[in-house]
Formats: sequence, structure tokens, C-alpha cells
Amino acid sequence: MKGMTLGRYAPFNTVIHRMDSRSKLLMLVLMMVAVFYGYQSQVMTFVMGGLLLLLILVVLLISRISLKQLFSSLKALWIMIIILLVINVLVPPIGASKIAFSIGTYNIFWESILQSAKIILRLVMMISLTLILTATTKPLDLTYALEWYMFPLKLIKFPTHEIAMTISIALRFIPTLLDETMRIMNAQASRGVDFEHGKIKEKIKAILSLIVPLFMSAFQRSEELANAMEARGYNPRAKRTRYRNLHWGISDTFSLIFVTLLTSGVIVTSAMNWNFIEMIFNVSTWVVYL
Amino acid sequence: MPIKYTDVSFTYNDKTPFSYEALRGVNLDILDGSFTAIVGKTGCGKSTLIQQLNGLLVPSEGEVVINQYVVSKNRKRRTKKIKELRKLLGIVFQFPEYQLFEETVEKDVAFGPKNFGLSNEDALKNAHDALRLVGLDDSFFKRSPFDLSGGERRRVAVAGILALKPSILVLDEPTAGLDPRGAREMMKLFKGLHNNGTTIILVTHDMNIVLEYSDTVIVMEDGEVRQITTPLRLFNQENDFYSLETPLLYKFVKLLSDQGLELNLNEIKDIDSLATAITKAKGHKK
Repeated sequence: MKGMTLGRYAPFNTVIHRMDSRSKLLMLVLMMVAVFYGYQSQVMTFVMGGLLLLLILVVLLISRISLKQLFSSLKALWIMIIILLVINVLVPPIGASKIAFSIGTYNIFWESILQSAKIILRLVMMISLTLILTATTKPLDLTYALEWYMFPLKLIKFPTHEIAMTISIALRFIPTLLDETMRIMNAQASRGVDFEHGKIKEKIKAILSLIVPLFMSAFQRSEELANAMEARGYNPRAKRTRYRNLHWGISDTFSLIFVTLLTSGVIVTSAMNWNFIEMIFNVSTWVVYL
Repeated sequence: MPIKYTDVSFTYNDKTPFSYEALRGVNLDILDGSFTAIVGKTGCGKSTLIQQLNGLLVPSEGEVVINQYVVSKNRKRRTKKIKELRKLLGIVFQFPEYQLFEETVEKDVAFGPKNFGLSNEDALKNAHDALRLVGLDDSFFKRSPFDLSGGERRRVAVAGILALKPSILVLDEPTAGLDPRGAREMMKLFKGLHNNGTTIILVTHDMNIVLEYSDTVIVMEDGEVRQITTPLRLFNQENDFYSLETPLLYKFVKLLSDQGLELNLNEIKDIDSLATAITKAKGHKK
């Protein structure tokens, strides 16, 4: 279960950890918008992307996520990256003209290579952002944040609390079920099951010997939990308090303002088709813009 | 020397924020044909210790040798025949009834032997033998394991390991959650296997079982082996340190001998032997 620690909450006590889950969630959405905004000039795309990546890496380091952790999360995606690369190289974008090199009679265009690089850059940023959120926020706090953002739906009698409850129970049971999986795998391995090698038929049997007991225990657990909740008089419609309340601090306000400005800056830059690079190198345009 | 732990340490989730050191510098030998009990508080590393035995967990440092098989991180030394090792050494985990999955009891018990390469017929024959051994008669063979009671399911699960005919049997709290009678029958079964030459390693919290059945006790605390001793010597000392409960029988015998009755503590293992010892001490004859 080595891979299971990816993106898992790591109990450090950094500025990012202490922030409100609502602000972190909102900032994630805003940053995603900024990351995925396109520009007309390729140079601008990479310069802006690079700047954003730099910012994200700084936040990553502040939240004490090691780069190793980031790379191992990316490892899970490398097949997707390769497929994207192949598709982009085989199907060049419309208007591609600059040939980078040729394999036989087939031309590889600079445009396709740049396009792939752009996608990889965005994927890396997207993964890092999600990693920052999940590694610094307790899953339960995240659910509370989701429930909080669903408040407008409450007005139309949408069962927001029940949904939040369902999600938090599901999250709560992920580690439990993982432990259970480990236990059953060990027990079956002692009975000679090989989960890694073997023919397809043997593998199916091996998986079956894991899935059936896992389902049995999951159903049993859910029944026990339902009984326990009912025995304590759980009523989804009752007004309830929480042991830990979400707390919006000054750092949340400031970072949210910063991220909002950043994203609006990105949108404006893209919409107005500003080109900082040209501006910096071309003082005359600088003056015109001023 | 069939089982030998040499400087075994084990850390869960090594090199992550969740790392947890479960075993520290464990050295111990378990003799062929012994009935060894492993005792200690919950979370002291008992279960981790036994999982090193068939390579489910590999020591972070040190090595475990079982007969000719070596479980170690060292690529050169560690055994490539992990499956043979698992056939030699059967582990019954805690609450094993959750590992059942087949449609019928006999199929489930035959699953293990079949994995180790037995033909369907031989595996079923082994399964039937094992089921009879745990006290489930022919009427159970075709039933679904999910229709059985908890105690019966436990027996089926134990039979699933016994059908492999292991020469070393490792049991992790096999009597937990069973009613007293079921527990007694289960222990009698293991005693019978031990008499037939199977080495038994038993993890338990029940000191009565330790006194009655085992000949060696390993006391663990905080991932370290504190003592390797016999049950009598263990209960004879101040045990509060390990928070182990002295068995009632032993307390009673101790009081009797303190009050002047001459009893040979080595002979007393259960109620029967106690009665015999008292009659002998009083000078009566049957």
C-alpha cells in the first residue's frame, strides 16, 4: 500500500495547514482558472506558466510537501502524459508550419512539441495544486467546506447536510477499508494466493478472494454504523453543532485577495492580449501603453 | 533450530510522516516441536512479529530464518521460494472468519491446498480431513460459509490453514470472541496437533491458556522482547510490570502451597492435574 500515502493529509503545522478549508478550496478553483488560461503568443504562455509554477512550488515548500512526493504523484500520470505526447505529435495542430525534424517522410512540428509541453506544464501545476489542498487539509474539514458552499441549495430544501455526512463517512472509512484490504490480502497470501504473478484465471480468483470478504465486511460495518447512529438518536434534520468549527482568519482574507487579483490579472492579460515580453523589450510600446 | 530472529527491527511507513517503529532489535529462537506463547499488551508488536515469519512483512533490519528459508531485505540471502515457506508455516490471523469467500465450505477450505498445487481431488480430501479435525461433520461440507454461525465460520477458517498441513502453525488470538466452550475445544484441537509434532506459536491475552498449554513464553513490550521464559517462572515473579494477569489456577495453587500443602507446581496445568496433585499431597489413593 505504498502508493496510498499520495496526497494524504500530512499533520504538519504550517501557515497553509492552519488556513480555513473554505478559503483553500476557493483559491484552488481560482488558481485552476489561472493555470488553464490560454494566450495567443506561445512565449507568453510559457512565461506566465513558469511564473505560476514558481509560485506554486513556493507554496508547496511552505506546506512542507517534498518534491519527491510531487514526483511520485506525477508518476501515476506518466502513461497519460505519454499518450498526450503521442497524440499531439501524430496529430499536429492546425496551421502548424515549423518543422522541427522528420522521421522518414513524417514531419514533427515545433507546434506539436510546444503544445505537448504546455499540456504537461499545466498537468504538473494542476497536480501540485490539488496536492497542496489534500496534503494540508483534513478530509473532514474539506467536507465541511463543501457543505458550507452548498448553503444556497439549502433554501430549496436540498439535503446538503445529508450529502456532507455521506461524504464524510465515506472519507472516514477509506483508511479503515484499506487496513481491511491489507488484512485480507495477508490472510489469503498465507493460503498461497499470489496477487502479483499468475495466469489471468488465477488472478481473477485471487481478486475474488479479496473482493468478496471485503464487501462482506463493508456491508457489515455499514449496518453496524447505521445501528449505532440510530441508537444514539441521529436525526439528519436536526440542527447540530460541531466539535471543531471552521475559522476564517486574517491570512485567509489576504491570501484570497492575492489569489483573486492574480487570477483577474491573468484573465485581463489574456483577454487584452497584452504581451509583457514585447513590452519589456520594446520601450516604445511601453510608452504607448502608459 | 527451526526459527531464529536476528536483530530484527521493523518500521511501518518508513521515511514518511506516518512512520512507526513496531519492532526493535528482536533476537529469539523458537525450538522445533515447542508450544510457544507470545504475550504482551495490545500494540506491543506481537502481530508484526509473526507476520515476519512467512514474509508478509520483511524486517527493515536483521533477518528471520525458518529452517532453510531466510526472510530478509538482503537480495542475496532472502529466499526465492516464499510459497514453499508459506506451505511449511501456516498463519491463522485474528478473526480469520472474514477471509471466507467461496460458495461452499469445502471449496473454501480446499482453496489453500489448490493454490499450493494440489489436484482438485487431493485438495478436497485434505479439506474434508481438516474440517472433520475442527469438528465440522459432513453435513457442513456443501453449505455456504456465510450461513454459518461466527464460531463455525472460525472453525472453517482454521480448517483452511490446517488443510495445508503446515509443520509450523502460527495462531493470532484464535480464541478471541469465542464462547468458553468453543475456545476450550479450539485449544484442545491445537494441543492435539502439537502432540502430533506440529510446532505451535500462539499469540494470546489469556494467561489461563498460557499456563495450561504452552511450554515457552515470550513477553513483549514496546516492540522489544523483554523475556523468554516458561509459564511457571513467568507467573512466579512480579508481573504487574508487564500488566499480565496471573491465572486464577496459579494463584490458587500458590496460596495452597503457601499455606503448607506440598504441591509440585510443575505438574499443575489445569483443574484435573490440580485435583490429582491435591489428592496426592493429602496422601489419599484413588
